[in-house]
Amino acid sequence: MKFWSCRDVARMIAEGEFDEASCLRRLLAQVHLLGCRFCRRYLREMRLLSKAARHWAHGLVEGGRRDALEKRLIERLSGSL
Amino acid sequence: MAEPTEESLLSDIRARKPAAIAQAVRAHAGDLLRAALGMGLPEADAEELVQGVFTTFLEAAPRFEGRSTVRTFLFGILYRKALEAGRKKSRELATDPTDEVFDGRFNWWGHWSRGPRGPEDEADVKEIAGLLAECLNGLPDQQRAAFQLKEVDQEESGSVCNILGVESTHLRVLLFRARNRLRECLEGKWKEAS
Repeated sequence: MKFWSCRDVARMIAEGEFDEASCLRRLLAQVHLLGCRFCRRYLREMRLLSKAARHWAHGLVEGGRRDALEKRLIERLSGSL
Repeated sequence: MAEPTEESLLSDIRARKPAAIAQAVRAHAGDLLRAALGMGLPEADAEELVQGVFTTFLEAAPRFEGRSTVRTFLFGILYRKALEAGRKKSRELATDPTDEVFDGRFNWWGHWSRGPRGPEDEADVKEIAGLLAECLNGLPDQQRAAFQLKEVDQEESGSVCNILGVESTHLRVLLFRARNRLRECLEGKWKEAS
C-alpha cells in the first residue's frame, strides 16, 4: 500500500475527500495526521475557512431585508397567477 | 396544524395555490438572496435574480419530478442563472496558478517545505470572515459557486455536480483550487494584519 506524503493528504483535504473517504482511506490519513503537525494545521485552517465562509454568508442578509423581499415576491408572484 | 410534506407542497405549487407559493418563498427566498449576494452580485441584481428563480420555478414545477429537494432545485436555477448572466461559465482551465502555488509548498518527496501559516484559531472566525469577502472576489465564478454550494449551502457533492453540470472529478478540482486560493489569500492577509 502506498505510503502517503503530506502533499497527498493536503490534496485529499482540499478536494473534500477527507470527509467523504472510505473508512480505510480516512484511517490512513488520520494516521498520517497524528505524526504531522503541518498537515494537522492545514486541516484546521481548512475547517476554519469553511466556518468563516458560513459566518460571512449568514451575515449578508439581515432580517428586515429578507422580510421585505419575501413580501414583494409573494405579492408579485400572486399577481401573476 | 402540521406542516405539509414537500410532496403535498409541490402539488399545491403545481396547482398554483397562493398559500403554497408564499410558503415556498418564506422557506427559501432568504437563502437564495444570501447565495446571490455571496456570488458577488449587487443588491438590486441579487433581488432580481431571486425573483427570476421563483418565476422559472413556477414554470418548471409541472415538469419537476421530485428527484431533488425543492431547495436544491431552486439553488440549481439560481446558480445556473448567475453563471450564465455573468457569461463567465468558461471551462475550468487544465492548469491554474493555484496548482503551482500548492505544489511549491512541498519538496520533491512530498513533505512540506513551507508549512501553512494562515489563521487556525476558531476564536478568530469573525475576523477571518471579515477578510474573506475580498478573497472570494478573487475566485473564478465556477470555483466560487462550487465552494459556496458545498461550504455555505452545504449541498451534497452529487447535487453540486448536477447544479454545475460537472463530473465529480471536476468538482474535486474546483474545490481544491477554490479552497487553496482562499487559504493562500487569507494567509497573506493574516500576515499583513498581525
